[in-house]
Amino acid sequence: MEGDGDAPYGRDRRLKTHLDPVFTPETRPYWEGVAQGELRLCTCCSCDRCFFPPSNVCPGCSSREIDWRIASGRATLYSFVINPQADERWGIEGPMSVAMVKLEEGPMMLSTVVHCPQTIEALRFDMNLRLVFRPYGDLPRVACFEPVGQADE
Amino acid sequence: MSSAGFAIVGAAESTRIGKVPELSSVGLALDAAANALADAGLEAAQVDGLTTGYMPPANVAQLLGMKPAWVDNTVVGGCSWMNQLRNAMAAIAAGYCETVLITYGESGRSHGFLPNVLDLGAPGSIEQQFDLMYCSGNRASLFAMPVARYMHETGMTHEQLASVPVVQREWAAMNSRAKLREPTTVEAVLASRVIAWPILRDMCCLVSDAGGALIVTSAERSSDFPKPPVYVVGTGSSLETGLMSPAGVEDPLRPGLVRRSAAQAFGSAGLTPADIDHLMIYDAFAHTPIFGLEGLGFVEFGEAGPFIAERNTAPGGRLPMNTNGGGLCYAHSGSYGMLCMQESIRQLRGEAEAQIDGARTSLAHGWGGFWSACATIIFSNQR
Repeated sequence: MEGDGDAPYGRDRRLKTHLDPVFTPETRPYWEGVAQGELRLCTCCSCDRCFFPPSNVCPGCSSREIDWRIASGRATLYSFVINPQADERWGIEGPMSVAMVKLEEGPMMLSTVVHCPQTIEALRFDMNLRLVFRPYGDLPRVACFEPVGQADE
Repeated sequence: MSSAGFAIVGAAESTRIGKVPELSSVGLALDAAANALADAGLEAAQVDGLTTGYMPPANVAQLLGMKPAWVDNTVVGGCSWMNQLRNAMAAIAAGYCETVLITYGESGRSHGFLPNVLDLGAPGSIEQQFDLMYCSGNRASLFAMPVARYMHETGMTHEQLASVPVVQREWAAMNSRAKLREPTTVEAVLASRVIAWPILRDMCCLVSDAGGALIVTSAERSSDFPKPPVYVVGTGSSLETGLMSPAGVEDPLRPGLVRRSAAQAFGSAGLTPADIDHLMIYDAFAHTPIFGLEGLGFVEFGEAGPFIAERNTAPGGRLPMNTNGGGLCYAHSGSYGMLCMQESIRQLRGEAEAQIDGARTSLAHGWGGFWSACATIIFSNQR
């Protein structure tokens, strides 16, 4: 069907462009943190809101007094999808989860749950996760999460 | 009915939709514009306002031979043309112009999507730094992020989700311009390949070439045109997150933006969901009508999956929805909001192929990205 007429959306329509993150002055501290193995979050000095993604203006109160803090790395799994195959830049064969992860500090971020089977049985809602870093393309580290095993709890 | 101040006096799609390799995106927009002008009995030079999106409006004006006094190029994803309709009404009310052409064309199939990489990963954007890498560039995965959680919390089954394209295929069967007109089954949908689990291929929209155009003017002037006017009786709009940045949504299962847009639209129309005879909810994926039905207030949270599976929106059901077959079965060129409105207008003019007898009101709801933006337009053939 895909060679003939309008085809349903499929893998051949993946967007391959611009996947390597380009930093801005506002996000540079975040990416410098990642390079050092830290997940840095913005916190508003005025209303104490912790937020993500990074910005020079607080989305809660518009203050421009913003501090950076290092996230605990503890999070829970809010929701996910499972892509049938990861982009080659991940160096992961086969399926790969895309996860909405709720950080202990409050914000939600998009990430992936690694180091476990990429199945609906293994990816349990609200499961405890911890921060890990994996290489992506030319970047030595990006923020990912892995399940906290019962032995670790 | 509230006193409507504005009306659609010209409406048309591009002459051909589906696979139209002989036209570019701009070509499709011009073709649709020419059809809408003919529908309204107007010359391009008589139109003094122009909106378009993702393409330079000055080029479109030049190529159509227009010299507009007012222009808008609002781009917030697939519902951009609904937002442009609201803006056009405001411009007419302000006296900036009298008659506005809203035109859209996208060669999604033959020559690639509109140059909207700015939404999908402009270097340094939120999406490009923090989202797109995780989904390996698979846009469907960003749209589908909360679906698994929704199923977990509401108990909606995969079969109920699969019933959305099944029902819409029944509507498509009645539309000669629809791409997918053969009946399908829940089993067949569930057997299609995984795109981003729980979203399977038959739960994803088509990739087509299409254009559409509208001409709007004040209700006072709307009786001077060949076709009966279709009044715009209520509108709403809201933005929440970046276009491809689902983690920024405050409540992913009960997204606030659709509730805010619905409250504005129903409030300005003086209507409630019970007053709506015909409904279009932009279906880029099978779950978006489910979130739309709930957010717009047609059903309660958690009820939309069974509501569709039990055929309430199917032919013969009490709330006919996506009667052209939708983006899943009719056509989806990349930004489907314009085609949603075209079917609403056909229904209210009595020109639809799957005509709903006696339809007086139609609601068209569009999305931009995943819960990034939305807009709601309520049309009526009664003032």
